[in-house]
Formats: sequence, C-alpha cells, structure tokens
Amino acid sequence: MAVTTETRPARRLSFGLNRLVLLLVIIYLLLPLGATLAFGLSSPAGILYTFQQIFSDPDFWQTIQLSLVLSLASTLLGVILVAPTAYWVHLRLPKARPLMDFLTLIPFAMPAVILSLGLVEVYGTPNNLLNVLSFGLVPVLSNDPFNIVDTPQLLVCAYVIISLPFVYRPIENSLRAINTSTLTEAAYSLGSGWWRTFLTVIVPNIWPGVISAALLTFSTAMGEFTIASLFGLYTFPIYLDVTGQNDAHKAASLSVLSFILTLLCVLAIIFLVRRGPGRAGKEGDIEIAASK
Amino acid sequence: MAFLQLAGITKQFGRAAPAVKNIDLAVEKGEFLTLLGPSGCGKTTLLRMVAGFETPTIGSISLDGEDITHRQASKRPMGMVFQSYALFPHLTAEQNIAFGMRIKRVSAEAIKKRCAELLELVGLGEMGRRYPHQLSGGQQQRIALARALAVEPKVLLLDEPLSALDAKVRVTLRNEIRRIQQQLKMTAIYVTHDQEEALAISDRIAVMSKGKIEQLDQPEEVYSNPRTTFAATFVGTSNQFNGVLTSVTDGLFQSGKHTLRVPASPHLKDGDSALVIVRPEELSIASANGNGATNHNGNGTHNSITGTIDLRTFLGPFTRFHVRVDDATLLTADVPSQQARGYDAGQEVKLSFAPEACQVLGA
Amino acid sequence: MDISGTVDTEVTNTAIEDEEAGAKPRRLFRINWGYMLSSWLGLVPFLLFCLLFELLPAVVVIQGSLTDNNTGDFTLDNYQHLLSQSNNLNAFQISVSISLVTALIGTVVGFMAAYGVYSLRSGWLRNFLVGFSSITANFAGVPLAFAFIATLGATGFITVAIQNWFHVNIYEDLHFSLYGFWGLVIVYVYFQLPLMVLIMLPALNALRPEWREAATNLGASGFIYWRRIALPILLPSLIAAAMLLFANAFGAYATAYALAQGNINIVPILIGYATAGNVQVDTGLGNALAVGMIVVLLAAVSLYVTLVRRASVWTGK
Repeated sequence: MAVTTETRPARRLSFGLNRLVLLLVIIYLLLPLGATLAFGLSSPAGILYTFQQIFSDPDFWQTIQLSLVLSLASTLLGVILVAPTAYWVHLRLPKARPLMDFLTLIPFAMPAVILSLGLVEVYGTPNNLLNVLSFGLVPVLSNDPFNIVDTPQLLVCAYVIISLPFVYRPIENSLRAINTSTLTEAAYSLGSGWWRTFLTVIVPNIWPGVISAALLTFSTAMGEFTIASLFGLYTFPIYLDVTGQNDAHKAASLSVLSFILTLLCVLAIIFLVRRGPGRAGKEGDIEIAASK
Repeated sequence: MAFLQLAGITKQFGRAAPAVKNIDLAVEKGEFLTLLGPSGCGKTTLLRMVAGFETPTIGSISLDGEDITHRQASKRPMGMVFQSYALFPHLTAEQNIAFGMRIKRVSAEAIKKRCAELLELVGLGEMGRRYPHQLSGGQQQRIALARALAVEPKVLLLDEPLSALDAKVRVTLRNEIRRIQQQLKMTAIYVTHDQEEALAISDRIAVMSKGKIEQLDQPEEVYSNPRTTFAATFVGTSNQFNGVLTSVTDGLFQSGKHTLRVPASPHLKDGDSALVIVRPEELSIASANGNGATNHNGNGTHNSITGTIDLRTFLGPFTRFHVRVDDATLLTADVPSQQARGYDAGQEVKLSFAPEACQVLGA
Repeated sequence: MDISGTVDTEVTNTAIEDEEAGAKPRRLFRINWGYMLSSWLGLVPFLLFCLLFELLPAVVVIQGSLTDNNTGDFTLDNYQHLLSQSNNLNAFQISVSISLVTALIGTVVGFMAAYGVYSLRSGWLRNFLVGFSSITANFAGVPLAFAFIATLGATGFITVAIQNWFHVNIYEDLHFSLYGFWGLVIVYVYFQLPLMVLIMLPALNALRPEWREAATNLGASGFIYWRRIALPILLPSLIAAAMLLFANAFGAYATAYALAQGNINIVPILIGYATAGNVQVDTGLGNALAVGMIVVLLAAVSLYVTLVRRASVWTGK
C-alpha cells in the first residue's frame, strides 16, 4: 500500500507553456512602464525636481481636475442611463434586445475619431436633414442657450457613447445571471414599486456588473485623447501630450503618474465590489466582461 | 480475488478530515453495485478514484488482477456517465459516441456500425444527427451512456446520472440502465443519494456515511436487516426504540414503560443497551377498545402499543399515521389505504407488530 | 335530449353578443397597444440619447461624404478622391495590415496568457492580474506612446541596452523605426494582449471541467482534448475576440498621434488631417474616409456578432 501524491503528468506540459507565456506577457507589459519610470527619474535635475515641477504647474492641477470631473460625470451618466434601461428591456421588452445589442455595438464601428468628426458636424453646422431626423432637438442644442458644440457637456455624452458596449454588456450579463423576473415578482407582491425594486432589489444583486461598467467607463474617460483634442478641450491626456512634446523627462514621469492614478481607481473599485450591498464575506472575481 | 478490488482506500484532501476512510470493496464481474449515501459521505470521491480522476492517499485498486492505482485516467478501461451528461456541445450525438473509438483508431466503417448499434440499444436510433442542445435531458443522458459503452469498458461508472432529470424520466431511465447493464453483463458502479433508486436496480448496495461503508448487502437485506443505526434511518423510514435487553434468550426488551418481544439476539447479552427498529409497514392498526380490522391476525405473542393519532396523511396506495404514544415517542404506521378508513386524528388506537419485524441493533 | 341544438344556439348567441358588444374584442386590442406603447416609452431616454449622440453623427458623416465641400450639392467626388489618391489607399492598406497582424498576435499569445491566468489556483493573484490587464488595456494613447519612446525610442532604455550588450543600433543597422510598421505593431500589441485576456477569461469559464473529464475517461490525452474538444468549442469566441481586437487597432488614433504627430500614414490620422489639419481642410474627403472605416469595421463587427451567437448556442447560455 503505497502513499501517493496527486500526479497529472499529461497536463503539466500544457500548464507549463501557458504559465511561461503568461510570465513573458507580464514582463512585456512591465518593461515600458519600468523604462518610463527610469527615464522620468533620470532627469538631470533629480527625482524630486521633476515631480516638484509637475506639482507646481497649475495646468497639471487644472487638467487633472477637469479629467476627473468629466470621468466621474461620464461614469454616473452612463450607469444611470443604461442600468435602468437594461432592466426595463430585460423585464418588459425582451423584443427590444436585438435593438439594444445593435445600439451598443455601433461604437465599435464608430471609434473616437469618427465620433468626434460626426459630433462636430452635427452640432457645429446647420443641417436640414438632421433637424428633421432629430425631431428638432439638434438645432435646439446647437444654438443658445445650450450651444453644446465643443463643450465639456458634449464630451461627457461622447464618452458615454464610446463606453456603451462596456457598460451594457456586464450589466446585461448580470441581469441574466440572477433570476431577475422572479425577484421582481417577489418584490411587487410585497408592494414595492418599479423604482424601489430596481434600487433596493436589483441593483444590489447586479453590483459586480455595475462596478465593472463604472470601472471601464472611468478609465476610458480618464485616458481619452482623440475627442478631447478635436473638441479643443484641455484635459489631462492633452496636457500629457503637450508637455511631452517639450520635456521628455516630465512626460515620462507624468505617464507613470497616470498609470498609478488608474491603478488607484481600479483598487478603489475592487474595494467597492467587495464592500457592496449584500456582499460582505462573499468572495467573487471581478466580472470584467468586454463581451459575451 | 474479485473483479474490481479496492483495498484500504483512504483519501485525504489537504488538512481536512479524510473524505474516504480505509475502505475495502470487492466488486464481482457483471455486478451492479450502488454506493448510497447523503452528500459528503465520500461516494463520489470513491467513484472518481476508481475512474482515475483522484488518486488514493493510501490504498490500492486492482482490476481483473492488475494494479491500476497509479494508472492515468485516460488509460483505464472504464466508461463514465456524469450527472451533467457532459456531452461535447459542438459534436452531434453520433460524433459524441464515436469520440472514444476515433481515439482508438477504429476504422470509419466499424465506428459507423457500432454507433448505429448503440443508438438502437439506448432507444435513440433516429437521433444520431442531432446536437446536444437539440435533445432533452433524458435523451442526452442516453447518448452519454452510449458514448461510455462505445469504448467497451470493463467497468461502467455512473455518478448520480439521474439527479438532473424529471421524476418520471428518472424511473424509466433507471430501468433502461439496469436492462442494458444486464443485457451486456457489464460490471457497474452506481452512485446515488436516492434510496428508492438504489433499492430498485442494484445487485448490492453499499450504504456509506462519513467516508465509511456502513453496510454492504443485497437491497432486501439492507432494507429489512439494517446493521447500523445509520443504515436503518437512511434507507426507508423506521420507528426506533431505545432501551435495554432484559433477556436475550426470551427476547425481551424494555424501552421506557413498554416491554417488547424481539427475536433472540445472540450477538448481545442480557443488560446490554440496544436500539430496536421497526418498519412502519409492519405496524397494524386497530381501535383501542379492541374493535376494528387489523391486517395481522391478533395473537398473544404480538407486541401492542396504544396511542392517539396525531396526524393522518393519505399517500395513495397507503396511509401514514403518526401516533403519539407518550410525550417522547411518536410512531409511524403505514397502513394500506383500504384498511385505513375510519381512523382519524385524535382517535385512540392500538398498534401491533410481530416480534420478527423488530431489528435489534447493539447501541 | 337534443344537446346539439342547445349548444348551437348558445354559440350563435355569444356570436351575436360579440358583434353587439363590438367594442369588446377591439378594446382588448387597444389594451395591448397601450401596454406596448408604454413599454417602448420607457426606452425613450436611452433611444433619444443614442439618436442624438450616436446615430445622427453617423448619418451626418455619411451625408457629408456625399456632399461637395464648396457647393453643398450631392456628389461622388469625395469617394473618387479617396480611391484615386494612392496616399489614401496606402493608408487603408497599412491600417488593415497593422490591425490584422496585431489582432493575430494578440489572439494567439493573449489566449495562452488568458489560459495561464484562468488556470491559476490563487484567487487573489487572478484578480490582481485581471485588474492589471484592465489598466494596461486602457494605457493606450498618449502615455503608452511616451512609454515606448522611453523604451524603444532613439535613446530609449532597451535601444541603449541592445547597443551596449549586442553592439547593434536597431535604428541604423536594422532600419527599425518606432514609427514604422513593426514599431507600431510592437506598441499596439501592448494593449491588444491585455484586452484579449479580459475578453477570453469569461469565455474560458464556459469550458466545463466535465468535458475534460469525459474526454480523459474516453482515452483522450491532453493534446487530443485541446485539439478535438477545447479549441473547437472556443474557436467562435476566439475569432470573435480577434474581430474586437481588429476593430480596436483599426480605430486607434491617440497612440499613433502621440508617437509621431501624424507622420504615420494610417486612416485615423488621415481623417484627423482632413478635418482639423493645418494644411488643408477637406471635410468631404474626411467624411468619405470615415465611411470607409465604418464599412471595414462593420464587417468585423458583424462577423463578431455571428460567432458570439454560435458560441452561446454551444455553451447553452
């Protein structure tokens, strides 16, 4: 009677290859970050000087603030717009699901370049066809008192659009994973109305999906360059570009700074998932699903 | 040496209590053996060790004389049927069945022929071209069975194959499985927590609890002569009397204020604590003042206890009475429904049962 | 008793009743319409938002591509310019090549890395790598460009290291350029890899362990399992992911812009030129280029959608 240990010889080979590739990929991803950090810190004037320069630059604070505000606004608008709609469609209008799928996939066919071009043309130039198609809303928005062309407000809306696939998909997946219709019926039978059910019953149960959507929107908006640049708005990535063209060392330090910023946001969001309603003690992986 | 021999099998996962403790099991060729027990009793772990998906921490497994304890799962001549069917979704039913044969490089014609035979065997002759998602649960499980049989295994392993199916399908399919097993004279090990299933189709049942085999016997024996408390209570319902054996030779047992006549128990001695078990269907009911029909001829040597009916439940072919005998004791009596008429809740009744119906277990 | 007679009369009576109460069947119909309408009403905020900020821009771009810059009349000249100027066609070719190559590398290497993450035993490490992947996938754009200039630029970390260790100057000796084709590939792959990991992890979770066990039980080695079961089942998801990667690379503007200020000939840069460039503003051509991009991307996205549907049928979701 021999004492044995678990052996899985056949699987070891494929495991080894994948672990190796994973390791190589991680190294590949860390190298430029390391190089950037080294480059930034190797400024002739010294580490502290570079950072002191950065932190004393009023533009830095102004652009960071603007980017944070825009990102927060986009995240909130995106989630508030999409989550109730996804719930509504799931519950009451399943026929509209293909339409939702279509609308949330368009951003893949209309990346930032094209979207910014389109938005500038829609709200910057008078156009009869558009006036008709938009039920008269476009001229309302293009002119006073709204005048939204090239404004931060329009930028926020653009950010929501480009994040749309990454907001709708995780939330829809979450709705499918939990027994949405049964939970709703139970809540209704106890006297809860639509909004109360949504806020107190559904949202706590799709929390990981909501957080995943928020995470992706926030990080997309923080790093978005194209639309901001074509709108002429001075956000942090623009600041990064302008500074970088002039001072390579500062640019490198700023890149690492922005990486750390996004890292903090990701950690904060992981924290929020763990501490979300009803999740105390529940171990769960982050449901980051860009697609089905 | 039995066909499949498990010797001293123990399985420990990490630092937790052992899932399987020192089990010896000898399975005869062509036998249908069921591992029966609640969740966590180790039955699935044991099956997976036979299949090769887990390795025993201590112990050995041998098949037909050969030691296979350390052989890879893919090299063992076993066929396995899973609870979740595990059919490959991208292959048709026929391709699923052919999978094992293709690995063995059987010729295309032979594969086609055998697939047709197996589809006929499981009663799905026309479904070869369908994909798993186009088949019902019961049909999928039949294909899974055919797939396992296709590689001509020496032992067929079934891991709770019917748990995911509807009640009616379960009954038909379990009879199918038994029929096929007998037809092919295949050795089979079947895992389930459903005691009705186990009783219905097994040659022998191994009742398991907490990693050990409590009793290994034919179904009738397991049912009528349970050897341990667990076996008695897990399989079927039972009335239990705790007490002391006052006389082994005369067969007298004292439980509280009741004196019961029980069969002679040579394995115990006078004064031993014991547990006496009586199956509900062995109890007959009569009204307390002596009138009314009984289903056993009253005679002096029968045990008799009076009580009040607490609950009467009509279960179709028979009616179940919960009878309160005293504060601590509630007895269950199953009476054929025709004879149960006229007895209602609140009524005082007399329950009688023969001494031979009592099973005496040392406490 | 003549039952049939009474039944017949009863039927006729109710028929008459229905006709008289003619409103009754119609009212039921109206209720359905009312419910339908109010259901669609709930969708209005979202639909309106999409209309204003997603659909109308698409419409205006298509319209603009068919409009003459000066006269405002309908014209196909813009497309003519697009197809006749070799610069434009070259840009499309380069864009498509870069996107295909990086999608391919991202798919193959990224899938292996994804499987590596998937098979990790420790949960916190897996979560950490997922978080790390989402950060690096979003690192694209300006910071990435600078990071790579610092790494592989003319005086970059690795460039200098290679010079010191192997005495090879990759710029002069190997004619490498960070702004050339392969330079861009190396940079783009940086965000394609983590994106692939993020996309494939949920798909890998759909691989049920029982399939592996069933295959092993039927005699399959690890290799056969991958070749006959796992890869075929994953193939639709893999190709779908590749399509997403393709679309992602094809539309990338910021990274290329920050790398070379527009000295790279890819379609997004060209569009940027045509609409906001200093040299010549040709909105018609810009719109036509945009429509060209939309067409290519639509093809990729349609393929993606079909394959995702196939995959979900098999995995039973």
